[in-house]
Amino acid sequence: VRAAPVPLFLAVLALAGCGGGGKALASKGTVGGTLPACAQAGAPAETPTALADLPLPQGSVLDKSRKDPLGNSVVEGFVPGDLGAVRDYFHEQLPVRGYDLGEGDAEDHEAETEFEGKGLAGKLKLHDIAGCDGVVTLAIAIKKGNQ
Amino acid sequence: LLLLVVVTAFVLPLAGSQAANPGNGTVSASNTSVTWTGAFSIATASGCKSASDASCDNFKLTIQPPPYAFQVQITLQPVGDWDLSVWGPNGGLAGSSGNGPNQLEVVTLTNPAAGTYTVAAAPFAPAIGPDGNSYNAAATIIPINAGTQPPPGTESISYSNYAAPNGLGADAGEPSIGASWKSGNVMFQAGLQALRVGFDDSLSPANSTWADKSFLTASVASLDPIGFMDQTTGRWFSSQLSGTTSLAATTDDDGGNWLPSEGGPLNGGVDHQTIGGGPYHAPLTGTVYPHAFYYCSQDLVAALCARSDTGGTTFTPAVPIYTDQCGGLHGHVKVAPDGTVYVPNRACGGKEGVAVSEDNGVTWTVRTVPGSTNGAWDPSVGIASDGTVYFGYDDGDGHPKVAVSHDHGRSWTNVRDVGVPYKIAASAFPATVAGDPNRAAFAFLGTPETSVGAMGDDPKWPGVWHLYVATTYDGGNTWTTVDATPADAVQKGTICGGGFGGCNNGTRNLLDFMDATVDKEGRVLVGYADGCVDACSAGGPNSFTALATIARQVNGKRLLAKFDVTGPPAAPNLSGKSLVGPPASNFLEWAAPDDHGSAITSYKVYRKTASTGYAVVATVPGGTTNYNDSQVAAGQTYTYKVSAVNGSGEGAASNEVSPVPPPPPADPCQEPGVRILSDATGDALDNNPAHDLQWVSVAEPRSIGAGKIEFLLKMASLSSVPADTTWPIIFKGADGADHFVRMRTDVTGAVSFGYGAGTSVSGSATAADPSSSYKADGTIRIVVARDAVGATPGGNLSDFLVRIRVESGTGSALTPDNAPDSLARTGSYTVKGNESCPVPQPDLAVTGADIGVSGLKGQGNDQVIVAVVHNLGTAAAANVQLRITVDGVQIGGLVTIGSIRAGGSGRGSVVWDTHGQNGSHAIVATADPNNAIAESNEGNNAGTRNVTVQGGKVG
Repeated sequence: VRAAPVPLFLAVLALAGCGGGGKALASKGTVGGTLPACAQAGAPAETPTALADLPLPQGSVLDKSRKDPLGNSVVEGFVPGDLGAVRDYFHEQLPVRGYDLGEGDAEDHEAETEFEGKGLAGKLKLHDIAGCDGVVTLAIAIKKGNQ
Repeated sequence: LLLLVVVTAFVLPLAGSQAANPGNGTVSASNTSVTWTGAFSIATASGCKSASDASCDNFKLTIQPPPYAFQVQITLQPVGDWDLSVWGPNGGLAGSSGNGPNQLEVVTLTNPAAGTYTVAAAPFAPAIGPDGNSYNAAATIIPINAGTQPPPGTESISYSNYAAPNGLGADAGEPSIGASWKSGNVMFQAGLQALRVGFDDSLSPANSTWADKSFLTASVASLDPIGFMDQTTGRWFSSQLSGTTSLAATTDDDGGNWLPSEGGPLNGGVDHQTIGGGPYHAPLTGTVYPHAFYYCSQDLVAALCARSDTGGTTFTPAVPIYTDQCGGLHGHVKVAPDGTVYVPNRACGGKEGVAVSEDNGVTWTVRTVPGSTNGAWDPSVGIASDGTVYFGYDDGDGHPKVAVSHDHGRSWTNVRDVGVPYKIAASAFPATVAGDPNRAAFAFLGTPETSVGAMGDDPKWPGVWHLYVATTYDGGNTWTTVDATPADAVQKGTICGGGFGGCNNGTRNLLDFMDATVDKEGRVLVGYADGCVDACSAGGPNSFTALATIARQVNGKRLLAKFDVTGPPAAPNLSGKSLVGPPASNFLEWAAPDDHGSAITSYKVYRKTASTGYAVVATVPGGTTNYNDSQVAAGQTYTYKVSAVNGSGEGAASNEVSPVPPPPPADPCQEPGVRILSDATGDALDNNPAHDLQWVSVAEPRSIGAGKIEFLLKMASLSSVPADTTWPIIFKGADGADHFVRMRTDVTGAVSFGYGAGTSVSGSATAADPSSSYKADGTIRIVVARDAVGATPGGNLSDFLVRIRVESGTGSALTPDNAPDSLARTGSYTVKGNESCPVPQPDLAVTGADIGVSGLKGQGNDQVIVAVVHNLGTAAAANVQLRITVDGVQIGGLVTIGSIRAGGSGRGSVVWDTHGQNGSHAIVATADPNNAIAESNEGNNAGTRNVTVQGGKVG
C-alpha cells in the first residue's frame, strides 16, 4: 500500500470515489469538541480492539458496530467538527500514528480513504449531515483477517 | 532476548541491501522480457522515497526501445505486501503502484525513453513464499497495436450538442441519461435535478426542450446522484444516495408522476451506488414488474448488489459481488437481454474486469480482460440485442479501448484502441452502449496531451479534453471515432481523479463518470457535464462548470439498423441575422443536417419578399453551412429557407427565417444604454412574464443627474407585478467588490428600489434614487449614485448575474429565470461618467424631399409651399424659425414652429403667388436661418427642391 497517491499518468492511479456535489473540499472549520444534539448519537458501542490505536478527535462517539456481508467489521459514529477540518485531521494523524493512506477521495459532502498499518487494513469514510452542522459521520471498516 | 536478536540478524537481510536477484537486466527488441526475484526484507510500512532509498530493494532495468510503438509493463507479485515504484533515468518518478497484501503491483510505461530505470520494491509488510522468495517481478516489452488493429472505420457520423438552458443542470457532475423507447423523451439526472428533454426532429439537428421534473424526496440532498431508464417500459429511476440507502423514486411518465421507492436494500452500502435493470434470467420471470432492477453499492470495503422484483420500489437483501478479486470502485450495472447482469470494475487483479451474474444476482463471478491493466476510471459495459458485450475502458496506459465478448465475459476478442485516429493519450469517463447485433458505441473524454498529470489537480495542465464517440457496425472489428465537440472543449486542464487530500484547485468539477444511451430510433446520446462554457468556449480559460449537456447523433447509421435511412437529406435547422455592414446583409447559418446516407453536395438558399415568391438566391457547396446575402435593399424584409442536396436529390426545406435589422450601436449616454446580458423570451420556469428576463443594460444619460448611473432590466411584462419578488443585478464594481441593485416587492406587493454590497440580494438594501421606476412594458430602471456601487469613471463593472428571485416564505427561494443561463457571471461595462456625455442639443434638418408644393383651392395661381423640419438631435428645439425662398427671394415672412421634440418634426408653410412665374425655380427651405439655436450639426438646416411652373401650377 503506497502512501499519499501521486497523480501520475503512467502510474497506477489513485481513483476518486464517486459522490455528489464535487469540486474542492475546503479545509476550514473546527474539529473536536461536543457533538450537537441533532447528531442524535447513541451510547458508545463496543468496538474491535484493533481500533484502539486509531486516532479520533476529542468528543467523537462510535455508537454502532456490525459486520458487513463479507464479515468485515464496520464501526460507525460521529465526529464533532466540520467536514474539511475533520478530513484534514485524519489526513495528518493517520500517518503520524503509523497508518499508511491508500486510495481516497474528498468532495463537498464526503471524504474517504483506505489505510493500512500496524497489522490493520481498512477504509474510513466521512460525510456531513444535511441540516446538522458541526458534526460529521464517521464509518470505519476493518478488513476481515485484520480484526 | 539476546538469542532472538541474534537469530533475527542472521535470518533477515539488512534493509537496503540490493537483494533483487539478479540486480539488473535489459529489455530490447531482441530480449523482450526479464524477470527477477526479491528476498524477504524487514517491513518498513512505507513506500520508497527516491531511487536511492536505502530501505527499498532496487532492480536496475535498462530499456533499449524497439523500432515500434511499445509499452514496458513491470509487474511485481508479492508474498505479503510489497509496493512498487519506478524511477526514470533522470531520477524522476515514472510510475508507482501500491495495492494491498498479495495483490499484483503493475506499472506500465508507454514509449519510455532509452536508459536505465530503477525499479524499487518497498517492503511494506513482506512475507516469505514457498520458493523462499518474497516476490517475483518481471519487465516485458509489449508492442502497441503491432499490426493487430485494422484501420479505423469511415462512417460519416456527427453529433449536435445541447446544453441545459435557463440555469437548469448547472451542477451536473457525474450525470446519468436514459432515453425512453415508449415516449421518445430523454431523462437526464443532473445532480439533484431530474430533467426531461424532448427533441423535435422536424428539423436536423433537432431542437430541444428541457424541463425540471424532479421529485421532492429525490432532489433534496445527495452523496451520489444516479438515474436509470428501463427503456422498453419507460420507467425512470431517480436516486440520491443518503447513508446506507437512497432517497429515490420512479416515474412511468417522464417525471409527470412519481412513486417513492425504499431506495435500496436495508443492508446496502454507503457509497458509489448504481442502478440498472432488464429481463430476468431464466427460469425467473417478472410478476409484479416485467424486469429485474439491480441496486449495487459499496459498504466501505464490500461491493454489494440487491435485486428488486417490484420495478425499483422495494429491494431484496444485497449480496457481495466479489470479495478481494477487485478493488474498491465499480462501474454501472447493466443487464443483458438474456438476464445476465454485469458490473464492470477497473481493478481486478491488475486487470480490468467485470462481475457477472447468470442467476439473477444470486451469485457472481469476476471475469477479466486479458492484456488490460488497471485504469483510472470505471469501465463501462454495453450489451447488444444478441447478448454481445462491449467493454469500454480507460486502460492503464490511458488509452480508450474496447474489448468484445460473446460468452458473458469468459473470453474477449477485438481489443481495439479507438483513440488512435486522434492520438488520444489520456481518456476518462468511458460510457458504452449497444444496439442491434454488431452495433455499439463507446463515448469517452480524451486528449492527445502526453505530458504527466492528466488526472492531477493542475488547472494549467496543457491538455484540452473533447468528447469522442467511437462506433462499430461490424461487431467491434473496426470503429469509427469522431470528435463530438470539435468546436468546443469539454475541459481545459486536468480532470482531477481525487485523493483524500482533495482537489483544492477545483479541477474535480466533472466528478467521476458520464453516461450514454440509445433512443428508440437508434441514435446515440451521450450525457455529460461541460466544464468549459461561455467565455471558455470562445477561447478563454476553463470555466470549471458542470453544465448538463447532451451530445446527440445527427449523421450516420444508427445502432438500430431499421432506422438507417437512405434518401435526400433532412431539413436543415436555419437561423439568420442582419448585419449592419457596410454593406448591410443578411447572414444565414445552419448546421449540417442528417445526410441520410449520402454526402451532401450542396445547399440551395431560397429568398422571398412580401411581394415575391421564393426563388433560389444562391447555391453553396456541401461543406459550407452559411451564406451572407448582401444583395439587400434598405428597409426591405426578406424571408429565407435552405434545403440540402445529396445523391438522392434535394431534401425538405428548412424552417423560414426573416432577419430583423439590428438595433443601432449602443450609446451609454442614451437609454437603454449598453446591453450587458440577453436572455430568451418565454423561458421563465413558471411562465410568469414578470419573471421572464429579456435583457439587462447600463446607461448614463445626463438626464438622470450628474454622478449617477442607471441599470435597466427588461422583463417580458410588468402589467402585473408579483409580490415578494426580487429583480436583482449582481456585478463586480471597479473597486473589485461585489455589488447589487434591485427592484423588490414585499409580501403586500409594495415596490421599492435599492442597492447594496455583496451578493445577498434578498437582505437589507439602501434606497436607490427616487427617480427609479418600472413600466408595464416590463422595463425596470434603477438609478443610483456611481460611488455607491463602485462605478468609477474609466473603471469596469463586470461579472454580471441576474437571478429573478421569488421568496417562498421559508428562507429558500425559487429562481424562475436567470441570465446567463449557465450562472457563470459574465459581461463588462466601462463606466463613462455622464459628465462626459454630450450636452443634449437639437439638430434641425431639412432636405429637398421635405419640401412640398400644392395648389391652394380657389385661390387662382397661389401655391402652398410646405416644409417639414426634422429634429435629429437629443434635445427639443423651441421657437424654430423657417425661411422659404424661391430663387433666392424669401416668400412671406419667417414661419415660427413652436417646439420640435428630439426625434420629432414640425412643419411650416407659405403661399407663393405663381402668376407669371412659368418656368423652372429653386425652392429652398431653411430652418433656423438666423442661427439662433445651438445645434449638434449646423450643416443640414437647408433643403432645395427644383420645380417647374406651368400655367400657374407646379408640375
